[in-house]
Amino acid sequence: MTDAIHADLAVPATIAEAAAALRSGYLTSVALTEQLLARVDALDAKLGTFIARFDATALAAAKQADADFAAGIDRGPLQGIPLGIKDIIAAREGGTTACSKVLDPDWGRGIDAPVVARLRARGAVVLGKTTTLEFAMGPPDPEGPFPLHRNPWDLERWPGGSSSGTGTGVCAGLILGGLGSDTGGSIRIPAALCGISGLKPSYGLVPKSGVVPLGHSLDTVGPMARSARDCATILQAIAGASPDDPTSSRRPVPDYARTLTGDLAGLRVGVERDHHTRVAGFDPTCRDRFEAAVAALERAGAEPVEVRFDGYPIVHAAALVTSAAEALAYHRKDMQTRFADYGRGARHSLVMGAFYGSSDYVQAQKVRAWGLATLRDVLGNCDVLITPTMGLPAPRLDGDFWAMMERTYTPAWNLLGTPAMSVPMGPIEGGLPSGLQIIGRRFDDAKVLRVADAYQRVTDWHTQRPPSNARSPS
Amino acid sequence: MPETINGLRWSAMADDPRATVIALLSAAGIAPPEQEVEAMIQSYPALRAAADSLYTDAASRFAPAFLPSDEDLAEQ
Repeated sequence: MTDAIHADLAVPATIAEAAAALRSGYLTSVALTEQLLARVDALDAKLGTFIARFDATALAAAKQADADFAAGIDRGPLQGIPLGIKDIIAAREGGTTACSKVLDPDWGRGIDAPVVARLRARGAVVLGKTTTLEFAMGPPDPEGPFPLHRNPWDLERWPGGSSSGTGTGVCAGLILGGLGSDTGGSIRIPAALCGISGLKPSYGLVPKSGVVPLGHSLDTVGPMARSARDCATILQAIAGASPDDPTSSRRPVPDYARTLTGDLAGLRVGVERDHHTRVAGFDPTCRDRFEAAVAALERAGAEPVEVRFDGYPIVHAAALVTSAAEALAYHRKDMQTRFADYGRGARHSLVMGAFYGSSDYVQAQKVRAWGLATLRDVLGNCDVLITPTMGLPAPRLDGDFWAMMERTYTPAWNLLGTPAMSVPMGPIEGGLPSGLQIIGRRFDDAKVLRVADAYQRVTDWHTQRPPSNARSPS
Repeated sequence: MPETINGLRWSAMADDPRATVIALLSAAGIAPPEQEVEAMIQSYPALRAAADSLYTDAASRFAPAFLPSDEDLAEQ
């Protein structure tokens, strides 16, 4: 049965390929949607990708996309493309659960979050809502009433989170792309562990109204897909100010696709090893993959330069303090009255906010300002930074989640508000995927995408699919 | 300052993660089951150490405390 995950798809693997097929007449959106729904039928019980399916409205949207193509109406590269939406983001077909018993079942009912409305306006087909860790935080909860996500590369392993369902869905070919959210790594971690691409945009680039909050100064909504080019396509649709979100930026949104030239000549890539691959105990196979990625970027024309971000450990700690404090501020009342309704992983994550004092939160914000100044100095010598996304492969579902976090290099960039992207870096221990993290200046998401796209033109890790012998759950 | 709070001496709270965790949970109005409190007591020293590390760099003491805005970060 696991062969089905690997099955050669009759449908295109990427949004770009599907967009071309839809315009050539080789494929209709209805046929594409039906084929993906059939894959969902076959695989979802195993992977835990979807919490809600919108078959009827998805097929109606696909039919409309085909009718528009026939009438010469082209809304852009997302027209007729089936996508998944993380279930902390409101979509009009139903309620939002955040995979929690605590969230009001009527939260967001009947409305589209601005990001979902923007995807629909571009003709995208919303296939359904994808699973998340409870309220987008904590370790997986095998005891809870919601689907347990499994990694398509090894069904006894975790696919990462919290945007787990969008990650597994893209990885297994159930959707061509989708939306995740990222407060401390929730797009980049599943992207790395599932072997797909995912971008945490600059804070404020994408509106987050209609999205269940976690850490108000850290939360971002972003694209997940097989390639950086596909992520750029989705970002193009969802970026830009919204009157519903006062934290969303009014800056003009650049044309991301135009920046994807494949040419990195004259671009300096800062390589941060001291707080990552040179740390004691770092996985040597991951270190080798990272050095191979540096070489690949050099082949694409970039100039690697060794940099050291001395502020990294303290910024990482400040991100954790900030996240815990902001999350508890939102959940405190429910934690006081409905503690047992939270899953064990979520409530243990939330309670951390009670262990920090007010001065700790203020000091974390001072560290945020100090870290930005320190990062500015580092980026004065290069255009982007690169690190591994994580320093270990996907852990077993019953593994030590908290130990894994020590080898997770994502939260600092949420605190600093910078764009950060994870792209597949090749197999490490056990043949499992790893991720290369690319970090840019705030609002220079275009350069991050440009580097990621160029990297994917000289590597093929993003085209790899789970093996046919992926282990089934025992 | 009183010598005790909720029956616990101040010095005991400073030295004893158990007393500190119980006091902080009480202050937050959160009442986990006893076995989960044990797990929180185990993890508390690492959490406290992470928070304490924020104060180790003197330069950050004099940094402004702010949330990032377009203007703040335009030149980053």
